[in-house]
Amino acid sequence: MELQNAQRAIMSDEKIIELYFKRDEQAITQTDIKYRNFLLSIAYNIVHDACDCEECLNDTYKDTWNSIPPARPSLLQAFLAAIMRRTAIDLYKTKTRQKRISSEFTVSLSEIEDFISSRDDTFSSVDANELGRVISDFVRSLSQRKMYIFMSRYYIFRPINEISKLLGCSESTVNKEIASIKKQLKEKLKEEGYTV
Amino acid sequence: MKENVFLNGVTSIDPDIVERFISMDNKLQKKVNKSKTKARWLRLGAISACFALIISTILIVPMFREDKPSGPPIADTGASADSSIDTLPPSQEETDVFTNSDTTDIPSQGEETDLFPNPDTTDVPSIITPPDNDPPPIIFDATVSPDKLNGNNSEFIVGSSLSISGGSPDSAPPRFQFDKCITVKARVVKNHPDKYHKLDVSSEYSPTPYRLIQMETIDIIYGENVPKYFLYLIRDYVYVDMSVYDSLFISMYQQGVENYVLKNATQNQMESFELPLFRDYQDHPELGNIIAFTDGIFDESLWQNENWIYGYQFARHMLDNPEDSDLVVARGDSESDVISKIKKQFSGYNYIAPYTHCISALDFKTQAAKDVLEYVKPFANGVFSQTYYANSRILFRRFINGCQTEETISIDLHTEEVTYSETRYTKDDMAKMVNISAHLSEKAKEYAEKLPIPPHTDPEGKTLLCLNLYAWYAKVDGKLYGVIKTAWRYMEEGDYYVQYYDDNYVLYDMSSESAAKISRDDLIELLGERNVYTGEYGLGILMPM
Repeated sequence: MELQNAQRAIMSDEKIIELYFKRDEQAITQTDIKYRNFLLSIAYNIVHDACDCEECLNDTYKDTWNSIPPARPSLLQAFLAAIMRRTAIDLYKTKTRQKRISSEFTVSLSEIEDFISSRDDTFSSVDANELGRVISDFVRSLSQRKMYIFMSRYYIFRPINEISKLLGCSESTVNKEIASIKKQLKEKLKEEGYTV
Repeated sequence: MKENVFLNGVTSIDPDIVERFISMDNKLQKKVNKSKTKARWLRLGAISACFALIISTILIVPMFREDKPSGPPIADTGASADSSIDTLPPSQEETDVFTNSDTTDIPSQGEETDLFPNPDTTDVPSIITPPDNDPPPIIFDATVSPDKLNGNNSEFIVGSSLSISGGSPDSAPPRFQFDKCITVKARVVKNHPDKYHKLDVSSEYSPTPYRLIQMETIDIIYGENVPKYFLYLIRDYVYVDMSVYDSLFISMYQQGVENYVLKNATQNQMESFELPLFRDYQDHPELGNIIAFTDGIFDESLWQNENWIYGYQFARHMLDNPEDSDLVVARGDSESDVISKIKKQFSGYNYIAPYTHCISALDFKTQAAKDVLEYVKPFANGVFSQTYYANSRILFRRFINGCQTEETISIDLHTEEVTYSETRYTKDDMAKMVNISAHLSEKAKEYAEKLPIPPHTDPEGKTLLCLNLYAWYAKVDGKLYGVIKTAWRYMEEGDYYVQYYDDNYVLYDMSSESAAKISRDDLIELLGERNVYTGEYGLGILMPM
């Protein structure tokens, strides 16, 4: 029992990253112990299917194994979140080629459908990094609270009711704030020359 | 924009933002989990507290009748603060609040000349010493100490750290861009040790504490007529000792001209300053507007100080990635490198910079304007606050016994046209004034012992953000009045953006020598809406984001 507890003990990020650098497969075990639930929650918001979530999780661990080294993330959780997010979106797209799946991901995208469209190819060649810079600048200009809401909603696609619980306010307050963020983002994108 | 493009853009958000978000999220998750486990105990505690409150209210309420405050609040003033509200004092000194600042620690001319050769040191500034050498300290406004508040006190520390937890007030992270404003190369001459409040502040909010740093201009990078010496006003929670750096590049905006008066909150007295005051353009710390140098090379340790560390994370990212940086400075840059970058950046801006012509001393040509300067001279006719509207006008407002009055005088800086307010106070009026600030001080002590209950707001489910006392004088139809206002500000529990205001008022009628509580409606009818909250009580107000 003691041994099991020791194995289940949560390791610090630094030590986990060191395991990746040593190519020790315990790295994945420790990552799973520490961040499994967090990563599954991101995946579920996007793909809304338990089996798909597990698939995303495995892909995330594989990609993390392949990325560290050379990468040495300063915050492992954020690094994993980014990989999981991308993996889950990719899987979602594959699935939706066959059938549209309703999830927080689709709901959150529908919120901003007045300036994104799946039909408009005008900016298909837009450099994601450049747009990332514009969005990063925009997010930095927001108050902490709005930044938190933006990232909760559009980065990890968290449901509104969960955001409101975390912020200790009503869902309608969060909705109002999202509306205000959308408006600001639209203006920012217009300023930067994007067609929205 | 195509959906994929947007998604890829969000995926490419800078990692530091994701990290910041994850850190916040972890904190919030912990807080929510913690509060769930606490809730049961809190309910039990709340029931006990209510029971205790009912018992103590029954016993104590008669002792807190506001129309019968007790004796002179300030024992050592020697001033004629009335000992009973029903009996007004026969007279009172006209000069009300004074400074007694020790000027010995201002560098002497000799010391300055040794370090920084300067032919113009005859005007080394000092704090004006008031005419009275035995000043009575008078509280003119009072805020109950944050540790007396029963709830979240982050109102008092916002900006100093990550403060998103619990829906507390948040602010945009400090920017590290350099604003196109008056820009100087300067050095610190002296850090004033005390904290200061501005005079004209809203009665609904607790005053913001500031610190003062006396600076010497070494070189002017952008702007005209910048004085050799000036005072830099900085919010206390981001104040740091910058005297350890050889030089500083500062982008700033003029706050006031000569004889600017601030309340010294540490010593509880007014101080007047000969030097003009400057501050950050936003009056909210944009920390990149101060760049430090040691041995002529950019020294980022200023930005890394513990009071700025949260904002520094953003600057550090740009310093680590100079190719993506918007800063006017990079690691290893010399002063001349940074000057070039500042000038280049300013020339690229197509907006008109805030007014950059400084005024240190008011030098009017017309007799009317000169008369005003004589009238508002520090401590001659009460104390005058100063609001400087760069390049347009300057407005003075009279404070008596540290309390605001409606008397103002405005001078147009171009035409020198003088406008006096309709209401003026005479020396005779001032002699008749009850020192209501002394009563306010007494009330502050009372509140520090026990928080008062708001008359129109149910505190259940709300967090007290601020309890403030504020006093002012009014003159209507030749009659003199004083008002003390107690103002409460609550936030909806867990939601800073929904707030509740409440207040009550005590009116001092100096002609009938009486004081009594007065309703808001009656007060408005008698004296107008000045300093009176006119919104509906008991309703949550959505705060602007």
